[in-house]
Amino acid sequence: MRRNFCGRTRREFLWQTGAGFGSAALAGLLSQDGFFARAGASDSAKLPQPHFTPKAKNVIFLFMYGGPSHIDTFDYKPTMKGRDNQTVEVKTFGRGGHKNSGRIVEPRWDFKQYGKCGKWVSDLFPNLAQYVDDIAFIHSMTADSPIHGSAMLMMNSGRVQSGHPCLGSWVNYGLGTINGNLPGFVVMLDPKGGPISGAKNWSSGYMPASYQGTIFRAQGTPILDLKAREGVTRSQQRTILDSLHEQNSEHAALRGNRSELLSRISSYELAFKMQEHAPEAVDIASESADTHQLYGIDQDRTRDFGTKCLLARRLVERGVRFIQIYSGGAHNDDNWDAHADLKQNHDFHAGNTDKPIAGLLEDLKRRGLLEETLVVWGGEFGRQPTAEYAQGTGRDHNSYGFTMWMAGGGIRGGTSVGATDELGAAAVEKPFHVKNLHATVLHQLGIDPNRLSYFHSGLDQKLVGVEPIEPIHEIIS
Amino acid sequence: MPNGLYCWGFACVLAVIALFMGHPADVLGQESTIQFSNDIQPILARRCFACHGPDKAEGGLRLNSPETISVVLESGNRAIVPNDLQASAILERIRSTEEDTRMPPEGKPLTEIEQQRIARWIEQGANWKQHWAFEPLSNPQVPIRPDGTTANNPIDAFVEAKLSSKELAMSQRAEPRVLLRRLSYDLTGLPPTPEQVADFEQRAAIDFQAAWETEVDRLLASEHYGERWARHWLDVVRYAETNSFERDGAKPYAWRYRDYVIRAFNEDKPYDQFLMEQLAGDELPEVTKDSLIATGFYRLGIWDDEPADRELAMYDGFDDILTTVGQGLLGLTLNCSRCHDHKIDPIPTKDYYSTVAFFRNLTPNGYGPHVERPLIGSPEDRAAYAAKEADIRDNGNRLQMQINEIEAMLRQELESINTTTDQFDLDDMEYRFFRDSFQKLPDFDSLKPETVGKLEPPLLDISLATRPDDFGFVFVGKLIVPKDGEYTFRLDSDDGSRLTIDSKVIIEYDGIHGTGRPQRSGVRLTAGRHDFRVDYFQGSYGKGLQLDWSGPGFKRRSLTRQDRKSVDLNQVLQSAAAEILNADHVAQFKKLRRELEENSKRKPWDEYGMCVSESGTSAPQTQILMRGSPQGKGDEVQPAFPSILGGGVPSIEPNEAAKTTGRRLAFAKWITSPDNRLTSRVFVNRVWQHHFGRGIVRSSNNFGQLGDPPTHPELLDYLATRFVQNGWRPKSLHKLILTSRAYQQSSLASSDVIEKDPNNDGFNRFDLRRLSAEEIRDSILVANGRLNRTMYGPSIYPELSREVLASQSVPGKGWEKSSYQDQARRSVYIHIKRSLLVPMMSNFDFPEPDTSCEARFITTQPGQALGMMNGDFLNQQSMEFAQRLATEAGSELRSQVARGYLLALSRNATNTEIDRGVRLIETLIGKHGLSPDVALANFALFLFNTNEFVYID
Repeated sequence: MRRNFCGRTRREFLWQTGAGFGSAALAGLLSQDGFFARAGASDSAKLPQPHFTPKAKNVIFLFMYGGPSHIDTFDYKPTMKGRDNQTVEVKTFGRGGHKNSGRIVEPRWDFKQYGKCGKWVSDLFPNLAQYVDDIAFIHSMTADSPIHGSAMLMMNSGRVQSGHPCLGSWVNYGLGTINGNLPGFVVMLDPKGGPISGAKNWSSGYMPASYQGTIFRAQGTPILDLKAREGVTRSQQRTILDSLHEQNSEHAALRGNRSELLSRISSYELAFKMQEHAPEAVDIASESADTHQLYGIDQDRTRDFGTKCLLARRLVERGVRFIQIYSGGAHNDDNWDAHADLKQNHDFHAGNTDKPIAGLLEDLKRRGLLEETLVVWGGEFGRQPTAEYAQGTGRDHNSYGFTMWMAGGGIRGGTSVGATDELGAAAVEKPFHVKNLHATVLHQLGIDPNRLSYFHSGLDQKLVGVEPIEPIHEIIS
Repeated sequence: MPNGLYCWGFACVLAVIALFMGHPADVLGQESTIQFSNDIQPILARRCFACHGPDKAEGGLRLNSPETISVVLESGNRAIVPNDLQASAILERIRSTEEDTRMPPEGKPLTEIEQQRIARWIEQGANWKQHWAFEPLSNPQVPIRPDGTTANNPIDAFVEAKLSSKELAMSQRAEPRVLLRRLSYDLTGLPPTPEQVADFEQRAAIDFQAAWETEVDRLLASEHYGERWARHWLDVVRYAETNSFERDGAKPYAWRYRDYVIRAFNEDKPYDQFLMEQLAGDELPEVTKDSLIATGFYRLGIWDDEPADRELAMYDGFDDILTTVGQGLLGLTLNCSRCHDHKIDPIPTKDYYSTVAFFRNLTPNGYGPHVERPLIGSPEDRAAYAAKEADIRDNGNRLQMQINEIEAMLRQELESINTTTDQFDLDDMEYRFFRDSFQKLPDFDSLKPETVGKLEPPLLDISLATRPDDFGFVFVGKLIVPKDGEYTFRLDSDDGSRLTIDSKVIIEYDGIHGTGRPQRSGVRLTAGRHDFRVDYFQGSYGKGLQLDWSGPGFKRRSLTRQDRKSVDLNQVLQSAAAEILNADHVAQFKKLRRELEENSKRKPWDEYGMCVSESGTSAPQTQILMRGSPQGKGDEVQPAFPSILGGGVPSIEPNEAAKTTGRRLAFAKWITSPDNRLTSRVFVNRVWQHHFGRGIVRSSNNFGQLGDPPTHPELLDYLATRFVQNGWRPKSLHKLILTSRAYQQSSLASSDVIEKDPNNDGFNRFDLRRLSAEEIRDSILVANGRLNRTMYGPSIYPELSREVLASQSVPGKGWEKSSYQDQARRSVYIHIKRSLLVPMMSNFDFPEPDTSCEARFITTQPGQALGMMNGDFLNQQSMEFAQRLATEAGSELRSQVARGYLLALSRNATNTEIDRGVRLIETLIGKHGLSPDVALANFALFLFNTNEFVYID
C-alpha cells in the first residue's frame, strides 16, 4: 500500500486533479496556464507510471457476446466425430441448470491445421486462421457463472456482482489516458443492441464516472452530445465560448483563481477541441480502398464489424488505451448464444467477424502496432458439448471450460495453453480463471495486478480480488 | 471521501510540499501531548500492520496491541520501550536512510512529522488508548476564550479554539446575498428568488442575526428541504428502483421509500425513530404505514434473480445489508470481516456473522407477497383489511352460488339440444412459468417468472412450458366449490408438486420422482370460491402433472388439461348456440359473470409497499463461513452486538403478530440507544458534511482506523451529545450549525491563510461548492420558470435519446414516457434504473447506486461541457428561458439580459455584463444570422454554462 498524498495513493490523487476522460489534457492546459508551475507540483500533471516496463500500450478486446462454442472454433476435439446423438455421462451447468448426462452434438465444422505451429482451427475462421502464429490460445478458461448477466459482469469487472469498475476503467486508472481529446475507454456496440445489463458492462463502479466506458458510434456522431446542434456553426459556438471565457475568467479572478474554477474553464476549451478531433478519428473515408478491403468494409456482411475494427486501429494510433468491440447484441441469436440452431448461429456471427479480425491483425502487424497492442478475443463463457434440448443442435452455456485468445502486446504467438477434457466440457489441464486473464492484461500493460488498488468500502480493492493472482506466464513472451 | 475532492486534492499537494520544505526541527510545534488514537494508531495501521499486525509478525513484531509492541524480537532488540528512546529500535529503523534497513520498506519513508510523533509518543510513555471512535462519547466543555468570554454559538467556540492554536482566525462574514444563496441551496437544493434576496438584504442591513434566523427557519420549514436532504440519505442507503443484473427489473413501490424519507425530514422525525422504522418498522409495538414502507430499506440493494450459486447469492444479500448498516449507520466497515478478521479494526469474523444472524431470517428480495405487502398499520387498518377481504370473499361466494344455479339450468337446456359442455371447477386462473433447474420446489414467490399468463381454459397445463426440461410452474386462481362438504384431491406429478387451498398446504409431493403413485388428501370445504394454488417443477426426463377431485354429488373430475376435452360454457354463450337458450338466463348469467369478475378485481387494500418480511418466528441457524464461502461452514453463532462497540447479547422476543424473530427490533434498539458510540456521531458528521462540504471526519462511512481522524474531535462529540439530548431532531442540529459564524464565513481567503491551512482543516473559510447533478438540473428549471413542484409519487422518466437507449439489450425496456410537465419535476423524482442512469446525472457525478456512497465525487471533465452546450435538455430549456425573458423583460435587449442574470444568478448584472450579453446576442444575429429568438436562447445557454451558475460561494 502506498499512501502519500494525504493518505491517498498517487493514482487516487491523480484523478482528483482530473485524471480520466480528457483530464491529462486538462492537466496539460492547466500547466500551460502556469497553474501547476505556480503550485510547484508540475510533475503531478504527468501520467501515472506503470509498475514495470510495459509490453503493451493499448488493448483491443473483441467481445464475442453470448458465448462462442470453443469445440466448434479453436478447441479441436477429433474424438467427438461420429459420436453425434450418443448419450454420455457428463456434468454440465448452464441456464438449464445442472445435468449429469446429455446427448452429444458433435462439432459441426471441419478443422484444418494452419501456420508453423500447426494449430487446428475450424472452418468458421478461414481468414483468422492465417494468423495462428501470432496468437496464443487459452483453452482452459473458467468463470464463476454460466448465466449471461453475472458472467458478463465477471468478464468485464472480475465480479459476478454489479457495482465494480470494469477492466477498461482499471487500465485508465492505472495508466491514465494519453490523448485528452478522446476518451480512454471506448466501447462499440453491435447494431442489434447492447449486451444484457447494458451500461453495467462499461461502468466505472465505485470509481469516478470519468473512468466509465464511452460509447463510440461507427456512424454519425461518435460520442453523445459531441456534435453541435443542427445548424450551429463552429464559429457561432466559438462566439458563445468567448463570452463564456470572459465571464468565467472575471468570476475566477474575483475568487483568487481557484483551481476548480480554472479547470472548468479549460474543460470548455477541451470540449471544443474534441469536437474537432473526435470526428477526425472516425473518418475512415481517409483510409485507402485496400485498407477497406482488408477489413471487409467493402462487403455488406463484414462492413459493420470491419468498420469498428478499423476504428479500433485508428483509436489505438491516437492513444486510446482500451477499446472494446461487441460482436453480437440484444438477445438469443442476435448474438453468439446458440441455443437453437448452432450451425446457423455460428456461421452467421463468425462470418461477420472472421475477415475483419484477420484484417485488424494484418493491419496492426503491417504498421508495427501489434507489438504494442494487446488483442483479446472471447465471450463471457463457452458452450456445452451436449445438446440443450431433445431436438436440435443448440448448446447451453458452459463456464467450466472455454477458449479465449490473445495476440500482440508481448504475447507469445503460436502457443496454446491448457486443455479441456475430451468432450470440452470442463478445463482439466492448467485451468485458468477470468482473473488470470485480467491479470495478464494488466501485466502486459506494465501493471502489477496485485498492486493496482483503489481504496473503497474500507478495503484496498483490486480488479483481481484480495488473493494474489498470477498472469498466464505460459503465453507471455 | 470528502466532497469537493477536486480542490482538496490540489490542496494536498501544497500540504506535502509544506512538510518537506518546512523546518523539521519543530514541526510538531504546539502538539505537546500525543494522542495515541489520532496521532499514532493511523500511522501504525496504514504503514506497519501489513507486516507487523494482526496477520503477520515479521521479525516477531506485532504493532497492533500494547502487549506485543515491547516483546523481545528475533533480532534481540525491542521495537518500543516506553519512556526510553534509546532502547526503542523502531526509531532507528524509521529514520534510516538506507533502503535495506528503512521501515516501512514499501513506499515513501514516514514523514518528519510522523517520525517525531512516534518519538514523542514513546517519550511520553507509549500509552495505548483505544481508537477514538470506539470510545464512548465524551461530553466536552465548550472552550472559553483566553479573555474569559465565550462565543455566542458553541460551534464557534470549538472552531475558534482550534484556529487560534494555529494562529488563524475565521474569515469575514460573506455578503448577505451570497449567504442566502448558499443557505437556500444547502437546505432546499434550489436558489432563492430575486425578491427573497432583495428582501433579505434589506432586513439584514438592519439586524443581521434576526434576519438570518428568519431565513433559516423559513427554509427549514420548506417542503423542499425534505427533497434535498432525503437525497443525501438515499446516497447512503444505495437507493435505486431496479435490481441490476440481466433483467434489471423494477422494484415494486420503491418510490414509496423515497417519499417516506422526504416526509421524515420534513416532519423532523427524530433520527432514532427514523432508524427504528427502517430496521424494524414491522416489529414495532405500533406498526404504521410509514414504518412498513421504511423497511423497504432492506430491499434497495442489487439482486440477481438468476444467480449461478443460490446460497452464495443469499449471503451476498446479507453482505449488502451489513455493508450498508455498518458503513451507513455506524461508520464501520464490518464488510471487511466477511472472509477473515478485519485487518485493521478489531472486528473478528465471528462478529460479522453474529451481526448477520440479526437478519438471517429475512425473506429474499424479489416479487410477490413477501415483498409487496398491503400497508396495514393500525389495528383499525387491520380490522378494515380483514373486513374488506371477507366482503370480497363473501360477495364472490354469493355470486358464484347464483351462477351455479343458472349454469345448471343452461347446461340442462344445452344438453336437451345435444351440445355437451363441461363445467369448470377452476376460475380466474393465472400461470407463472419459471425457467431454471430445481431439485425441489423453490420459494417461487422470490423468483422472477419468465412468463405470466391467463390459463384458458382454466385447467392446469404444463404444456405451456417453453422448454422441455428444467422449469417450474405456479398456477393460482380460484376453486369453485359447489356445496359444503368433504372433498378428496388426488395429485400425481413428475417431478415435485404441491397443492395449496386457502393458503393451507393440502398435498405436498416434493422432490424428484416419477408418476404412478398419486398422493391423496381429504379436506372440508364450504361452498364458494377458494384460493387455489399448485406449485410444480420439472427436472429432466419424464414429466407430468395430474390433479383431480371428488366430493358431494360428483366423482373424479379432473383439474388438469391433457385428459379432458373441454368446451367452455362461456365460449358456447359467445357463439350462435346462445340464441336457442333462454335469453333471460343467458343475460343473467353474463351479468353475474361480469359482477364476479369485477369482484375478483377488487383488492382488499388500496395501498401496497415494498417491505421486509421474515419467514416465521424462528430463524435458520447462522454459521461462520470460512473465507466467506458457503462451502466452508464453521461454528454456529447467535445474534450478538459487535464486541468492538461493547458487545453484549440482545434480548430477543419473537413477534407472533409480525411473524418475525424479533431480532431486528433488538438490533434497532441497540443501534438507537443513546449509549451507542457511533450512531449519533456518524449522523451528526453527515449533517456537518453537507453543510461544510466535508465531514468533521472526512471519511464519513469509515470511522475506523483507516478512516480519517476527526479534525475537531471535541466538536463532534459535543454535537453528537447535544443531538441525542435534544431528542435526535435533525432540524435543531441544522439550526445550531447554520447560525454559527463558522458557517457564515466568506469563501474568499487570503493566500496567506490558504498557505497556512491548505486543506481548510480548521474551517477558517467556506469552501466553494459545485452544485450536485440534481441541483444543476433543478436550477435550470427554476431559472426558466418551468420547475414543476409536485411532490411524491411514482418516478418520472426524462426523455433519453435513441443513442442512449441503444445501449440496452432491449432498447427502451423499463424506460417509460413522462409528460413534458412531469419531466420538469425535481430531479429527486427521476427513476433510478441501475443499468440506465440518466447521462446528465452521472456526468455530474450522480453515484453508481450499487453500494453506499458517503460523498460524491466532484469531477470536471469535457463530457460535462459537451452535454451543457450541445445536449437536448439544455438547449430545450434555454429556449424556454429565452421565452420567459422575452415575456417578462419586454423587447428591450438590455433588460432581457439583465433579467437573465438576475434569474440565473440571483444578482443584478454589472454594466460590463449587460454589455457582454448584448454584444453576444448582437453578434449572433449580425454575424451568424440567427433570429433574435434563437440568439436570446443562446444567451440563456451561455448563462447556464457559467461557472457562477454551478459553483456557489
